[in-house]
Amino acid sequence: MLEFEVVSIGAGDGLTCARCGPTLPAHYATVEDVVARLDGVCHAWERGPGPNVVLGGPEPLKHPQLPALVAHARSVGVERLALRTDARGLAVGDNASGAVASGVRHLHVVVLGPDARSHEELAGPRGVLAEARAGMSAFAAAAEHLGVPCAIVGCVPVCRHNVEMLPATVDMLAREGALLVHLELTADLDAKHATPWLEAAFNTGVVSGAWVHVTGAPHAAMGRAAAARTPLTLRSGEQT
Amino acid sequence: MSAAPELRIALVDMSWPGYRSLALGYVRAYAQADARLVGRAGFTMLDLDSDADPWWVAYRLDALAPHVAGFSVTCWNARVVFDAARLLVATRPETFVVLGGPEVGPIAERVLADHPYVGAIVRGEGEETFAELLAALLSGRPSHTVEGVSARDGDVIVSAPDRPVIADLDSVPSPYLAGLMTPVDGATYIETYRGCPRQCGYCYEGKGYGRIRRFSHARVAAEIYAVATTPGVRSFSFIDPVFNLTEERMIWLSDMLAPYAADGIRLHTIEVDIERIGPEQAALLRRAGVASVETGPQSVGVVALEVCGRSLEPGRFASGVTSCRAQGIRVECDLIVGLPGDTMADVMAGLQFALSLDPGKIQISTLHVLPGTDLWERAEELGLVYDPHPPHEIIRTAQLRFAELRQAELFGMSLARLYAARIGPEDRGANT
Repeated sequence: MLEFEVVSIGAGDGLTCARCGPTLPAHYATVEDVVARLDGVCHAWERGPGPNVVLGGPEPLKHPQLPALVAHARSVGVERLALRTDARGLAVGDNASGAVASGVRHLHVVVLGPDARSHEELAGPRGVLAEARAGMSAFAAAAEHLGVPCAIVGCVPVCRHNVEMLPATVDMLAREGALLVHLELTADLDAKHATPWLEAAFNTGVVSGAWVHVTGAPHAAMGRAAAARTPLTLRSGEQT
Repeated sequence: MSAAPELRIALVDMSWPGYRSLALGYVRAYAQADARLVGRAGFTMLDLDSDADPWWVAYRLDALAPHVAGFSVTCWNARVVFDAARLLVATRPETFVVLGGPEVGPIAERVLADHPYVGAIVRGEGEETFAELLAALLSGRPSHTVEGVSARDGDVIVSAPDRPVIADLDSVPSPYLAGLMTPVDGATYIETYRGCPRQCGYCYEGKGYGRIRRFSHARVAAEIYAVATTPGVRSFSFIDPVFNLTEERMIWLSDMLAPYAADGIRLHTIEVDIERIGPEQAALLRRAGVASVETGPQSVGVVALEVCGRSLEPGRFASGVTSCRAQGIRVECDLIVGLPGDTMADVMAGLQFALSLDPGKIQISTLHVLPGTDLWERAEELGLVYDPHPPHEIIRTAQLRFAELRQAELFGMSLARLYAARIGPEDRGANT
């Protein structure tokens, strides 16, 4: 269906489970490097509606020259520009309205748990989930205020530490306005243990209004072909 | 100081915010011009939101103290209408409730049986029938004897014979030209003909109003002038089922609309047969000021298209979309989830087809099995299970279970919204 190309803005991890291992520190690429990648994607785009790009890798809202990258993406014809982010920075000042006004139309928000206690146990200091939710709300409010259609996609890296929280996490993301939730399964996840939780998460999404898509594991293990369908496909054609 | 009218009539429509009911405007304009009612009947029109609280609607109506309350009923507002009318009659038993519209006309006797507070139902086109019903009420003639009306004769529900459709549409005064409706920017519609060249199984338009009847060119031209020159109006629309009904007509409309388009007036969400639009036709639309058009395909499934009486030539459809887009005209591609015959693979193929065209907008809706339509009549034969209560949403089909339909709806709506979230031409400064 709708395809996005992931363009990394540097090296290092975004939000990952702290209990699974240390998070690699961020090293941001230069503007020139990212611009060259954006130009390459736009020049080669021939996959239907687009070009569509996710700025991924380390947290984009901390990239010192993000406004320049967004402006360049827009100028070279990117039609759907997404940020893969923890969304915390969007709750600050006019950041959300600035992001929408400059051309950001999709947020891919990374979340590990459904509530402050579980999310913060896996993701970091106190208050980060509240800030993330405030960021999503600010983005949605800015889009409505500016009359611009925007979309929120939830991204949940799924490991053995949060798999049993998936239904509640999907429900929380749907309440924050997510249209789609990607469940990104890690390689060491026990498929037999995970399957009922993935199924419950899928059904929770249907009821709550967010499509749930599972990546990173054999879909057959879930016994539910529907979750193999996705309205949005992410591709990464580059070394990050 | 004029005397109070013998008959106070409140006409109520409940639709989306900002919408002004053209149907009720016609009904009022026709009745006000009826010699039997002049000086004897006074009218008030209320355009309310379809999610209005029925208690509040009844409160508003009670304050008007109407002798007659007329409601325009669609599948979207029926539940609120029924509740509001029931409350109104409970507090004002002397108010005579009249319903009309596609939700009640085809099943008039059933509605009267289920809703004892409803006095009469106007079936089919409302203008002549409603005026004659008011005249009957003034003269003491029983409602159930009025052609096109279903009503009660004591405890018995009686339907008078159908009334023929209005032969000369110009006999219905224009509510715009009569000053009964003030055009509002973005929420004003003009109707240039009634009937539909198509007979889609899920729609009442082509079936309920028969052959195509046109308003005269002079009438249409006068309405366009009245709307397009109203201060503050920068855009309006046409309610016609197919704007490009014939080549000649589209050329005439384009000629008629071009001067206003040159002044910046834009037409939004014009329904077209996209397969009959090539570069020349798209240029005519552009010249007429058309900014966006709405079209099918509703489905790409061979079985569903056949059952619903529709056709699709994907190549011609795509060519039409391309022609419109080349003229800067946004195309809204409509798909219906839950059509009989469609499998999940058909639904997905429809979404993929619409997406591949990059039309500008994809609109997903769920099938509503509406009273009087072909699908409503053939529901059992086709294996359609739907909610008998309005809005009559499909529950399951012979091909898709309940859960699969809900999943297909959600998937389609998610895709449509993800597609819509983009940096559009208007964001880049295009003049559309």
